[in-house]
Amino acid sequence: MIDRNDPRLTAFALGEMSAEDRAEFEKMIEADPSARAEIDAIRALGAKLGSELEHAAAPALTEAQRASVAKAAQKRRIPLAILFMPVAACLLAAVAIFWPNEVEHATRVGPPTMVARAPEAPAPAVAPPPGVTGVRAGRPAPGFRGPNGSVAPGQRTPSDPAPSAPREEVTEMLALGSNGGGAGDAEKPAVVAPEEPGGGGAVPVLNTRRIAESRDDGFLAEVRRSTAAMTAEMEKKLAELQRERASREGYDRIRENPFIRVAEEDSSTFSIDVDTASYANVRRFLMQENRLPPPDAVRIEEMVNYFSYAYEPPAAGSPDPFRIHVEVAACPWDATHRLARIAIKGKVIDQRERPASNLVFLVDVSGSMDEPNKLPLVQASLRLLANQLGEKDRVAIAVYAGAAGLVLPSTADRQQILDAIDRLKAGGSTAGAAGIELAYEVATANFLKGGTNRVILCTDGDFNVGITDAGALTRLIEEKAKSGVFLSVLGFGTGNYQDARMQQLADKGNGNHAYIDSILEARKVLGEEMSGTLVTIAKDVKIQLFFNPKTVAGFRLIGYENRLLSKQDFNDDTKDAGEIGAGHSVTALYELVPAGMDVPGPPAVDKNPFVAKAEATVDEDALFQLRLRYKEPDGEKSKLLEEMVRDGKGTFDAASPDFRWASAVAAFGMALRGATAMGLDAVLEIAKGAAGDDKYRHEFLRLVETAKLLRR
Amino acid sequence: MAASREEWVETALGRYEAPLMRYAARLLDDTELARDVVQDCFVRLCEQRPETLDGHLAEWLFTVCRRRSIDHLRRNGRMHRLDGTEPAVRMEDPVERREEEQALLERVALLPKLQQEVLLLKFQEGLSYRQISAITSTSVGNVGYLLHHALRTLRSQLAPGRSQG
Repeated sequence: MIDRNDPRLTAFALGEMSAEDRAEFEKMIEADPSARAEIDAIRALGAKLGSELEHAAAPALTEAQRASVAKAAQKRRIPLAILFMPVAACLLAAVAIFWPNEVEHATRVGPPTMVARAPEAPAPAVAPPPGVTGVRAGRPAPGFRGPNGSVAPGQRTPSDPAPSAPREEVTEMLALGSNGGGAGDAEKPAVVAPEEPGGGGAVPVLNTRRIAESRDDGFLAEVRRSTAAMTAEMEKKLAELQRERASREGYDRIRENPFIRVAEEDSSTFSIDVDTASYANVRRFLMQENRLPPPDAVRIEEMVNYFSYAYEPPAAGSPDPFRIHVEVAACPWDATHRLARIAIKGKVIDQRERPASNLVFLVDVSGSMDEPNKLPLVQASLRLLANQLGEKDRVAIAVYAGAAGLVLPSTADRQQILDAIDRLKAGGSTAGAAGIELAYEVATANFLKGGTNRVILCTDGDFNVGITDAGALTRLIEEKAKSGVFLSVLGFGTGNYQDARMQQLADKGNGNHAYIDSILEARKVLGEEMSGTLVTIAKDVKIQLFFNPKTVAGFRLIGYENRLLSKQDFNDDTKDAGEIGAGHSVTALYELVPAGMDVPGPPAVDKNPFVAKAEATVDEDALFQLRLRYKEPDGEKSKLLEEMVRDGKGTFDAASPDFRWASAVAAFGMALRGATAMGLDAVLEIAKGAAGDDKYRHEFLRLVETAKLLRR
Repeated sequence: MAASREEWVETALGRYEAPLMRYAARLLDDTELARDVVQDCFVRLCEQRPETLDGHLAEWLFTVCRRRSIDHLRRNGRMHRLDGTEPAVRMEDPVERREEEQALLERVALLPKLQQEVLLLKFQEGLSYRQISAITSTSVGNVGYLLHHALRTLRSQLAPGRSQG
């Protein structure tokens, strides 16, 4: 049974399928009368729409506008005229000079009527040649109407050679519904890139330079001025186009956590998150696209967690797979507040001791992946990973596009794996759900008890075939995660990047999510931190803080907006939370308002007269009690850890470099999200003092510098 | 491509003026602006070599038209709205038309913008998924998805007895 939401029904009805897909689909619907009825209904509606839309009125250009187009077309053919024409018009004409081949070609090959019409002397700037105006003058005012009317026979000179290509194109273009046309075009997509840099738009700039060698200075100066204006306009346009692209990327609105009064709510609960995708994405905006990221692309916890910190791992023989480090110091952006950092460091697993792994690469090979920063980068990334695998590691590769398929059954043969990676090709639309089903099936079939079982999904997130409803897809992943197979979501590409959905999939699939914007990032995620990416050491890690009202008036969790849990979720083992990988560290920051101070935000809620005053505190001086729950990777029951945290009253400057670093990254994230508490200069100063010689931290300094420039 | 540039442009103008005007007028909600944009498209066409656009003329023109329209919207967005000018062009044609037709086209006008755009490029201009994908810079898969859902919405609305999904 084909789902009625499957867009293939429409693609089939409108003849938009490749012969291969079509044959396959025909087989599928053979025994499915409801699908066939659906297709008929789509065709009927298509035909109806076609015939009705055909009559929709179209306004026409004015005669003056048509004349100016005709003039522009004509000027191209009289290069000498540029010496005598007004400068604005020159720019167009200038292009013609430097396509001498073309002009020559047109003169030689063109039909006689045309050569006769080509004026050899400068044409008057105003009057278009009779051949053009004559035709236009005889046209009814509304111009060509409707698709059928748009080819207007009898309005051309009898000797018109009727160029064949455009006419065919129109016939194709008007062929409604049934065949959709474009069969020829499908072979050579995206050849046309109007107005892109280096494309047609850049031509005048080049050409005017060449004019410079032979024309006089006054003229040259004018041309330069106009060219500069044109270049500026083009740059602006490019920036706008980029903005437009970004607007198609999918980011969920982030509402920053507000300050909460301890008198009203004395606990805070959240799930840990080791994702780093947002930082790589922010870096892409700043460094590759030279613009500030959209605020909702900035997830502060993912920026802070991108970096590695010198937190001590648990001692050998520790009953817990990680160690907790809490540090409190003055808040750098509000000296009257305190900043508490809660850090968790996972145990480190040596590459040689890494348990055997059963990996399934699930690669999106749909048409949208056919870009240099997508599939080729996926291949490079997977090669990187495959090259580090040992003999006990197995890899299978599944792909999905129009249909999902297994291109490499699970194997430990590295050469076979590498060959299969090289053979991946893009094409087709994205049936993500079927691919996910298949990948989990293969992973489950090869399940290694006590080993790493993981599906690694590589995609731009543009799922649009099969289960397209985001809710259904996450439910599918949630269901699959119960099999004990973990998920890594690696995001690729720009322009259509569905960040929100990918994060959600990773979250529901017991997984992690990284954004791969370059081969360097691939090396970090799949090379240096491969063990952490692959080997989960604890799952469903939840953190809860109970604040002491005697020392803390209010608090705010920085970041983790998407990871907040209700306080009841903490003890509820059925509630999913984040995983932590080998060697991973997780850092969370709380801004605390000391007792006796005003808490920023709306006015306080009045006290409930029936509730007695706060009882005696167990530890008068503690700031909060830190509580943490986690499960072993294959466990069902959570373990609880508790710790009292006091304020050492330290200044910010005396805090550890890692504390200062995390604060600087958080402050940068807040600034990118529009907060004004701390300027970028101050961020940079703190960061510089805490960067050490870590190359990723030094890259961050460049990001802040860039953001400073872009802010201006 | 044996025609002269003038004739090439003239042919293109003859064939694509109405489709582009219709498209731009809908994107911009303003006939005058649409005229400027479409004129500009054709002037830009004069700067192109016919052979580079061979077989891609429709895509090229619609793409330029869309980008220019978006430029206008962005540049004048605020002004445009503040000045209170009513949309000049609507789907509804004052000329008499069967009621059923009216209903269908009104439904089309209620679809989400991008679905509307894709639907019209498909059924009014007869472009292929591939061409529409190039014009609207969205994936071919997404074009198929948008169109399928637009059609489903229309069908469920036109046949109220039938449930969707």
